[in-house]
Amino acid sequence: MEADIKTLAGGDGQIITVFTQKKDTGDTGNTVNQLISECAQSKGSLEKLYVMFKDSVFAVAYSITQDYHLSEDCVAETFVRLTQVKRFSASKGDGKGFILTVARNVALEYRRRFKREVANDIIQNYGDDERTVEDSIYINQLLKQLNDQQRQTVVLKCCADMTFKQIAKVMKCPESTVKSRYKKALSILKIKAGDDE
Amino acid sequence: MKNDDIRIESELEKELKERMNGLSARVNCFEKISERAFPSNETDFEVVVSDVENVSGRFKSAPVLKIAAAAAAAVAIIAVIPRTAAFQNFLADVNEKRDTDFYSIVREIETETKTNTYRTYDIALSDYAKYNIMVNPFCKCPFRIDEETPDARVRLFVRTYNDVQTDQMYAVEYSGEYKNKNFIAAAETAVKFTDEELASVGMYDMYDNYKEDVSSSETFFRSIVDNTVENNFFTDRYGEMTGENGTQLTAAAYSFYSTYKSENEVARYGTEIIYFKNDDDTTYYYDISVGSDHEITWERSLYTDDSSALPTDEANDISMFRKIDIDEGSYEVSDSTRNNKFGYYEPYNSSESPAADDNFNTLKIVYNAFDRPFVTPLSQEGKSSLRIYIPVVNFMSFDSQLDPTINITIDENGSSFKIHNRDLRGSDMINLHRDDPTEEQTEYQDDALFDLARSYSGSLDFYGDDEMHNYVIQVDPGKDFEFSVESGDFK
Repeated sequence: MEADIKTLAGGDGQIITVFTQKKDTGDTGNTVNQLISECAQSKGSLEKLYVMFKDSVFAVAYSITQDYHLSEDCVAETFVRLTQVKRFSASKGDGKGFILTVARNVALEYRRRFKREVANDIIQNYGDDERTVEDSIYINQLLKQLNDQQRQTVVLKCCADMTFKQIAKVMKCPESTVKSRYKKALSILKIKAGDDE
Repeated sequence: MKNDDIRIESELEKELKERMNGLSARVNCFEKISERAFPSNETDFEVVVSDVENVSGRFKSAPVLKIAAAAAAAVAIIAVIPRTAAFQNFLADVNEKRDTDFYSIVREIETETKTNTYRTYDIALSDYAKYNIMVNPFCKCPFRIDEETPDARVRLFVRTYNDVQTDQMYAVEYSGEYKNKNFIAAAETAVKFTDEELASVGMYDMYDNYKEDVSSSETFFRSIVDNTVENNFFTDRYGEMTGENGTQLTAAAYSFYSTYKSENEVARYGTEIIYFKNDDDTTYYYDISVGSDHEITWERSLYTDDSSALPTDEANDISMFRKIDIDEGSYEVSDSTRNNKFGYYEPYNSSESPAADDNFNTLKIVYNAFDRPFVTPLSQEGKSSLRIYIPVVNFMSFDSQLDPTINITIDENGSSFKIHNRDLRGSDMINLHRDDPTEEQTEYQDDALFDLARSYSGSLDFYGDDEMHNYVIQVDPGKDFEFSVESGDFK
């Protein structure tokens, strides 16, 4: 399931995406693509997409914003934007890659808009209940060892279950770069884990 | 070991995934999404279309009306609006914005650069962050890298006195053309000098030498650096410089002069920085070989909204320079049984050198058929003082060509130049291609070669750049020194 994204979604403008490269798509991929095509008119399709990808979208957003509530807003904004997609080929597109690309663009946009606040640890938002705060702090402590690109790579791989090839498309870089980033990131985390022990 | 790696990695991945899923499980915003994606059709407003609107909904005014409206607006702006509370509030807002700490730095830069002498550098933010030690060995880049503004640049203002830099610096991060509306952040160092303080420094340096005697200080400094190099680096069988573990590397040193201020004194200081890079790596290692090792702090680094622009943690640190402790060179003669005699060449101070400028240069140094990218100091003075070390026994000593060269290309502008045998410096430098070597020199060359050869159990191999003239010299260890040339026409 591969496709070339000619115009990437993101920003406040209308989302226009064209997939041009013909590839076989599996059943799941077809289902996702179909749901994307239908979600502008069908609340049911949108809900299915939400259930399927909420966790991945949140993870991508969190890796970029490192803020619980901002990531929650990114989730909402990402799915709203999916309903605004005007041209999407259900037969040719990489639906999951497309959704996570939108999520990444939304998160980058939100971080840019709110980066002053996000950069300040004091008002960084870890969520409301105890468990959420605990998880947020754990993830932030872990990921802060990494630079921005490494952080996104690790989350896309571990939390969004994407292949290196898919990550390369989302992050717009060569697959070899993704692999080396991931390897480097894990070695950093491994050292950190060793230090903590 | 391998299994441990896999276990740790998979545990980390698993833990991260579980925690992240735990977080996202508590996100429940579908209702919000649904409300925005499928808004209710019911509305509280009644739309009334007047007869002056056309079909597209756009109001078409007559030209006369436009002119009249513009005139009325102008009158309102001149005569009415300034008296309104709203306009007064607007002005107050503007003034408040200009009263921010960010603007106070910008204003101070404007004043300082008009009233005092400053050196100005203009560099890409990413280069500053990567090569910060080449800008100033005592402070880091004051701004964060932001992937949303990949074209961000930094204009750095360094106060000077008697042509010597000081630790009083300002920096502005901007994007596009350098003008106020494109400013992203501004920073200033904690150090501020008064004219009196700088005048009191006079012409003395940290060793109380008069400025006229600075060359003797430099000679003294550099002799220490040369000894430090000889105590820490080695020559391998290919005539390449190596570290203790045998990794081939490129090493250099440059001088940095500035004026500092502490609680007790204001003084000039001279520093020699040694830095090196393994030829198969991109990380540079450096140490302050001579001089005061202190830190210049950025007092404030602020975005336009006064939030901090300073890099926050190690993840933001993309510097390619890592500080290490290199053993200081003793002033004694180094151990002659080790292959650690080095000379150097000055890429900006040799027969074909390009003019030194105030930009980063990445030198692509080519010899022995191998490229060695190597970054230079930012300033003209730093470049002029740059010395790149090379073993006294190197490919030039044996090259079959009459004029063997080190070929250097500057990556940033594509210009290239050559370092010739005559450009090599250093009291120990062997030069078999000298037109008329003295007997003492010839004897010394032989001794140095023998010192080198006897340390190895195998042969010495040297390769020229030109394949047509390649040759191999074999030295049989333990026996008398002799050459065996396999190819080429060794002279």
